[in-house]
Amino acid sequence: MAFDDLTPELRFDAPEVRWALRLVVAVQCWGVALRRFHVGLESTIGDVLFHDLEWSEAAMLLTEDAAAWCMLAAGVLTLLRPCWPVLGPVSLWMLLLSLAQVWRDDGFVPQLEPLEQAARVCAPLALLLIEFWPPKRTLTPGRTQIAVQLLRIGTALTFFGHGLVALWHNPQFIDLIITSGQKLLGKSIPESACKEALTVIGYIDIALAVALCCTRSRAVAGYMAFWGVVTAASRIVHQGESGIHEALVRAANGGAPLVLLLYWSGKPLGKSPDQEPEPRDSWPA
Amino acid sequence: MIRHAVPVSLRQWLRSRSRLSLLLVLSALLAGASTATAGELSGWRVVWTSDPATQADILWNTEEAGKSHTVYYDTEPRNGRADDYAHRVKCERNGAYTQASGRKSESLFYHLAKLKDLEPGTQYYFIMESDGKRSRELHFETGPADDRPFRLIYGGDSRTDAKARRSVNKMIADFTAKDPQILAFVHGGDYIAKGTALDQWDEWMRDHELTVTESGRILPIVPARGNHDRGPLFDEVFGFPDGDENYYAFDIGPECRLINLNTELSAAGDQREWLERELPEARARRWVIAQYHRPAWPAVKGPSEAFRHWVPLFEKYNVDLVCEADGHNIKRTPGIRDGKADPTGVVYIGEGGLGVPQRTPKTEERWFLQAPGKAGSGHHIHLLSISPEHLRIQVVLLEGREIFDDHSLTPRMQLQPVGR
Repeated sequence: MAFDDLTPELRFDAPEVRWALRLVVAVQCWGVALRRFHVGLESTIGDVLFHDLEWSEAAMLLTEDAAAWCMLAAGVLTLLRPCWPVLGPVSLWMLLLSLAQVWRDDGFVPQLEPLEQAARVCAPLALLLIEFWPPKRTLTPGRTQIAVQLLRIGTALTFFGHGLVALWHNPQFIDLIITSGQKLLGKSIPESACKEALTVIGYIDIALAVALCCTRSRAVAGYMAFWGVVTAASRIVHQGESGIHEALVRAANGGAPLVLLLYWSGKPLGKSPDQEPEPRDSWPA
Repeated sequence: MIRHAVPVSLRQWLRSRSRLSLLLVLSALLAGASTATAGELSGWRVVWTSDPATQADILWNTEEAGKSHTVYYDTEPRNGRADDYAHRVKCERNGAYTQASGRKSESLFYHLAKLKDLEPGTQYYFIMESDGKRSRELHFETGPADDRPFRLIYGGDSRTDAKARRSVNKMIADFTAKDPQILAFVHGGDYIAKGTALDQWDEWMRDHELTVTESGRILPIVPARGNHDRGPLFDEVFGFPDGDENYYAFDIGPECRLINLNTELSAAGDQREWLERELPEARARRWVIAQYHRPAWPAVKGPSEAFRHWVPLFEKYNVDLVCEADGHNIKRTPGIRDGKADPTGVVYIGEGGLGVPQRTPKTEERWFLQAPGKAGSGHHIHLLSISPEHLRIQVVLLEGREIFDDHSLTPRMQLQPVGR
């Protein structure tokens, strides 16, 4: 971790940073809700409840509907007034969704799902710390730093996980590239070329994950924000309207590094832009 | 001294008792040994992944690696006397199953013998032998060379409910015993819940023995890989080379092509190119049937990549029937072309009920499940009757063995590939 982050003056008080994070969490909540309401699909949790825990189909569907309504409301509340009783369960639900994938043993490498989805889990937690309510608490440097590190770790794990499955040539990624190529370029990209591209993408993703952990580079955060948005949006290119929920639920993939970028780009509180930062002579508390 | 002290008649009696006891003990030991031998060769499978008229893979398991593994086979029953069989073939692959940890198992080993140059349309009787321990005699029929009618059992998803799975397997055995026209068991994937769990595969393979009839008739499996069948065990269980792509096609008889696809690979890449090369040739047959796991026209879940990349090819080359699994329900769509019901279109059936909790199909939301299509729930098998006149699809429920659906397709070779 870069100890620069421990500079106590840096805060999340800048409205653009707070609102960016609120929006990221709200959008990913709506992505979960949209999957249920628009596409009519159950989640991996529903699958575990029905197949593994032997719930009745009616009880499972009721739970799925309730969860979707809650996510819809959570998105609205997050924009209007973020609070820990909403953000905590949102983060937990996101975590359970990824763990259910591991439990079901479904997918390319299900064990990596918690890594791949880490940004979705960490973003609401970071917002919970920054905008703690109720009761309202003043944002302390300590909570700020934990929030920053959560976003950093979540983003890094997501990119690391995606990097690994890209290196292993996840068939879903191959289909994503081929279909996007057909739709955007009018060309069918050969599978072998996709695999080569995925190898490069995989190495870049892993390098970015490591770089984000080790440096406070705005260029790294900026590229990750760009790539996170591109890869999330590619779901819409790939699947059309039915891919919208897939893109929304991935809001944190680009959103979390974007928040880091905004945070790192912001001026320290109480200092003029021209003022040189004071040298530190001791480890910050 | 003592010996002389015992009366002769008593000595004779003791001797006779000893002989009798010895005989009884030996008999019991032999009986026990033969039971142990039969029990030790477990999980018998016959697998078709290439020309079923002339080839078949025979696989079984042992608890020890062993040294010598052989299949003895003939076109006449030989009651398990190894020397009487006309042919024998050594296993070409033996190995320990791969465990979830990646390490090789020390308690379960697979053996694969490839039977080649078989006679079409012929019953083959065989026994499996591992280090002198032999299985009972089993038999299967090779694919026909002529245009005779035959039947296939199709189903998918046997992963979660072992009790139901065993019941379905017994039902398959009953159907196979009664109907000599049934040739094979086409499995749409999701055999078990966790593809890397050897104990689950072991249980599935032992349960599969329940599909064998009393007379020893065993149906060759035509396997597709499901989303729960990830990892190397699938290849080891069904005799695919390590890392195989698991898509293939073969003829059953001269007029039926069965295409097996793998929805766990890229649907848009090499597999699609292979399918595009395969279908024009396949269409020269009267019947073209495809099967894979994740549905393009799902009754419950979202569509797989098959929808985007394979369905246009199915429609272009007028595939007759597509078998899908994964959804845990029963469905038959009407003919579908260009996203609409069309009598000239492709019919999709499925979606898996060999031993998995059943879902309710979303009939009200999805037009292709409504009449003239049909959808429902319940453990079931599909019985596909293939003849020059028709391709008949019957869904037989486990409960009461009722016919849930009965639908026939007629040959449509007159249709030319549709330009898109």
